[in-house]
Amino acid sequence: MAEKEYWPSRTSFVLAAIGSAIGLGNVWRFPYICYTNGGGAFIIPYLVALFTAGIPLMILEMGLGHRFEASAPIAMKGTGRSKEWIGWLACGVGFMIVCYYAVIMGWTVNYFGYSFNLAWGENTEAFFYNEFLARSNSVGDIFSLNPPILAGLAISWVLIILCIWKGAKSVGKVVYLTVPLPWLCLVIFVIRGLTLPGAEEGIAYYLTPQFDFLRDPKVWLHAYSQIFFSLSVGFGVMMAYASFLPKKSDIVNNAFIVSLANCGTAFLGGFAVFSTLGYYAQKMGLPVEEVVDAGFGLAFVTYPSIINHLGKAASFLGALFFIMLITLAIDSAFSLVEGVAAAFMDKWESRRLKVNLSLGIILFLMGIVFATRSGYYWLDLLDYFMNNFGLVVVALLECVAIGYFYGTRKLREYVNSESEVSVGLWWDVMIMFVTPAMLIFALFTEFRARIAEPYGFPVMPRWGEFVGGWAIVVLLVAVSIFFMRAKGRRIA
Amino acid sequence: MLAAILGRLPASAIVMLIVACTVLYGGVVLCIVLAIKRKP
Repeated sequence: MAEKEYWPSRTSFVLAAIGSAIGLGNVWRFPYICYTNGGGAFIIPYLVALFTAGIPLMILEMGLGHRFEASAPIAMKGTGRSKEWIGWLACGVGFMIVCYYAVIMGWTVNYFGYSFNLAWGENTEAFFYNEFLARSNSVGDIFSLNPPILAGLAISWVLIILCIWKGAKSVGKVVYLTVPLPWLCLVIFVIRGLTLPGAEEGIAYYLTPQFDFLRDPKVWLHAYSQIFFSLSVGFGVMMAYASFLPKKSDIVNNAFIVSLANCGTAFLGGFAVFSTLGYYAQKMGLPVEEVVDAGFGLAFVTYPSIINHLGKAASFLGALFFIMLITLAIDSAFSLVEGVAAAFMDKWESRRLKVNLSLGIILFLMGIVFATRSGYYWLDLLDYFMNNFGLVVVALLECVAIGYFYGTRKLREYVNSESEVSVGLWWDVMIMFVTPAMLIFALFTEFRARIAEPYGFPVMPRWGEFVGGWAIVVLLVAVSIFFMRAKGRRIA
Repeated sequence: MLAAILGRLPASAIVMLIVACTVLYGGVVLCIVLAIKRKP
C-alpha cells in the first residue's frame, strides 16, 4: 500500500485551500455581481450567504475528508455504502471544470506574452474575438484548430502537472508562491488604481448601496450562487486536501480562514477593478456603467484597453495583470486535478505518477475541442452547466446525505473534538434546511430558464445545449455509479 | 487620494465598507490569532 501523504505544515494546507478557492471569479465575477445587485447593499446578502451556506459546506467537506482520511468517493462511502457515487460525481464535476479551466489559463498565458508589446492594439474587442479566438459564427466548427490557444493549453498542463508531481508535498511548496503572488499583484493594482484620476467615481459605483435591491429574491440568489461558485466546494477538492491533514487538526478554524480569505480577496478585487474602470470611463468621457464588464470581457477586452492608457508602465502592468490571472488560475486548476487523482489513488491504490500523467494527457486531449474556432461557445456552455447544475447538485446531495442519513450531529461532534472553536446546533440547521433550500431554489430557477430558452441562444442551438450540457450531466452521473460499482481495493 | 474617495462615498457606503472589512479581514486575523495561540 502506498504511504499516506501529509501536508508539510498547517500553513501549507491553509494556503493550498485558499489557493483552490481563490480563482479568476474573485477578480472578474464578484465585483460585477456586487455592482449589479445593489452595490454596497449586496454585502449584506453576501455575508449572510457566507455564514449560512459557504462556511457550513466548507466545514462539512473538510470534516468528511478528515474524518475518513480519504478523498471524496471513499469519504462519502464512509457515510453509507450507497453514497460513494456522490463523491465520484463531485470528482467528475471537478474533472470537467479543469478541462476548460486549463484552456482559459492558456488564454492568459498567451496574453501574458502579448502584454510585452501590447499586441492587442487599440481595438481590443476585435483582437480578442476575431484574431485571438478567431471565433466562428457556428458551434459546429470544431475541427479548425487555433494554434496559439493549443500551445497555451499545453503550457498550462505542463505547469499543472509539475505543481502536483509529488502530491501534497510539492503542492505544499508551490502554494508559497502561487497564493501570495496574486495577492501582491492585487495590492499593487489596488494602489495603482486608487491613485488614478477618476478612481473615486468607479469606487462610488462599486460601493454605493441601493438597499431597495434587498427586497428582490434574485439578489439573494445571486449572493448564494456567488458563494457556492467561489469557495471550491462541491468538487471534492476540500475533502481530498483535508484528508492529507494529520489527526488533531483544527477543522473549524481552517474552514473559517479559507472562506473569509476567499471573500476578502474578492472584495479587494472589486477595488482594483472599479478604480481602474473609473479612470477608464473618465478617459473615454463615458459614464462608468457603460464600461463595466465581467468575465472574459473584463479580463481580455476592457482591461487590455485600460492597460493601453497607463503610459510608460503599460507593458509592465499588463504583464503583472496576466501573471496575477495565471497564478490565480493555476492553484484552482491543480487542486481540481488533485481531487480526482486522490480519488483514483484511494480507490485503486494507483501510483501517483501514473495517475497524474494519465489525467494530464486525457484532460489535455479533451481540452483541444475548446481550442478550436467554436471552442468559445462550448467552453461557455460547459462552464454554465457545471456551475449551475453539476456543482449545485453535488452540494445538495452532500447536504442530504449528511443531514438526513449520516447525521449532522455525528459529524459535528467529530469536527468539534478536533477543533479549538466548536460549531453549535446552527450548523445542523444550515446543512439540513437553509443550504439545501437555497440550492433547490437556485437549481429550480436555472432549470426553468433553460426550459424557456437554450443557454447561449441564438448561436447555441437546442441540440448543442443537449450535447454540451445535459448529456454531460447525465454521463457524469452514469460514470459515477459505474465507478462506485467497480471493485476497489480500499474500504472506508 | 483616500480622502477624495471617502468624500465621494455616501455615509451608507462607508458603513458597508467598515462592515465588510471588519467581518472579512477582522475574521481572518482573529482566526489566525486563535490558530497561533493554539500552537504548543
